[in-house]
Amino acid sequence: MKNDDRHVLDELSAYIDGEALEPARIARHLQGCAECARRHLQLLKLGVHLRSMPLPDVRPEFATRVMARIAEQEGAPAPFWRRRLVDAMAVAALVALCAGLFPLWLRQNREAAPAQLVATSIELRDPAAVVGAFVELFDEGVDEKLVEAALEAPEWGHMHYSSESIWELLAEVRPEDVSLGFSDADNNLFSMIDRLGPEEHDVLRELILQRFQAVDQNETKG
Amino acid sequence: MFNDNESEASRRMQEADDWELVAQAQAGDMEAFTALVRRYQAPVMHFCRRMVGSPQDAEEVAQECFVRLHRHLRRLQPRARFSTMLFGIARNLALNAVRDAARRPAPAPAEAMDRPVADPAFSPARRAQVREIESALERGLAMLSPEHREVLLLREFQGMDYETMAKVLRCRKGTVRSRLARAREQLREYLFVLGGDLL
Ligand SMILES: [Zn+2]
Repeated sequence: MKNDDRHVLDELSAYIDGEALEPARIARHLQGCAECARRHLQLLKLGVHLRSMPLPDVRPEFATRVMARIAEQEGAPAPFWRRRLVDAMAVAALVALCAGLFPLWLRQNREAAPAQLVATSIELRDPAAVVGAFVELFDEGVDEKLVEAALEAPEWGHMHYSSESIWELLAEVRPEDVSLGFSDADNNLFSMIDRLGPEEHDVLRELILQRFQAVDQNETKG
Repeated sequence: MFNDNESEASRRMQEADDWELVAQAQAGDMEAFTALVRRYQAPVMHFCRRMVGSPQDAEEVAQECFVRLHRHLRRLQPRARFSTMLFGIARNLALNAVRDAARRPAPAPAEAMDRPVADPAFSPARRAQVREIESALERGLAMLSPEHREVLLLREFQGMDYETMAKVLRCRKGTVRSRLARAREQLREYLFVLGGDLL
């Protein structure tokens, strides 16, 4: 009962949504505390007022305009990050084959295998492309284990880098660059990175770093 | 939309129906895609309008949302809830629009909604009060940070549960919980400053 004496002001928001962690305790407290009960009522009223706010008008031609824009863009080129990858694709394919990195490459279809897109986008030092490729990878329903296996190149296992680089890379991404709306896909990406063990992290970092260095050298030459 | 047990069955039916339309659209049926647009244009437009502020920008964002959806049509799979995915797109585009608007020299002030709202059955005095609260809420919402505004919009107007919002916003459920509490508290304080009797 002692516990119920603690004020519940901070928990009322979740409580009115039915998402409180201890709803029974909050309900008991509200019966005996005027301050929290008053706040509870205010938040309930706030919700009622919010939900009765006017809806914006949707112009009758909204859907027609959308369809016109789609028709307009039908013949437009592929997303920018995929376009950027095309040039480097042949090189990446060769590298991947030589290193035996991507088993996916072997069962490629007409389009580039998504895992290869990831590798190539890393090579291009293009954070938007990295994430875009990852998103595509999961959109295509590729087995995460295959990706992890692809990143387990033994010759990279001996180097150590901090895990910050991946997150820095991802932090640069502007969502609209890669249409990150596919929550499941990018949640998978983040959870996949979360799940990677320290050694796999190192491998991934090393992969990124080596690719970056390769790009740097090419840029210096050019 | 998602928080009510009684509507769970109808939600599931609509969900199956959404993906059926997606499948038809994937097979090249543009009518099916148009039907999807019509089904979701009001909630998406509503969300964008309150996120972005300017009606023109909001419509642009809402349209682009469906254009993006179509661009990815081929890859859509019924693994997520359709509306979760759609609002994920809308949310990303809206946040970018908000950021872009903030970079413009003169940010458009939040404009009131075009349509009068107070229930005509109310007395004139009550109507005036409702209008006062609505205009205060309109300004209060515009004052919130985009991160706090979006979570409140998804909860109050789309009726999403915390789990769904976490998916849309790609954050943890605890973040949804705390942001929502903060958003409501800021709004409540704002209304209180305007006049203690508004709530
Ligand atoms: Zn209390």
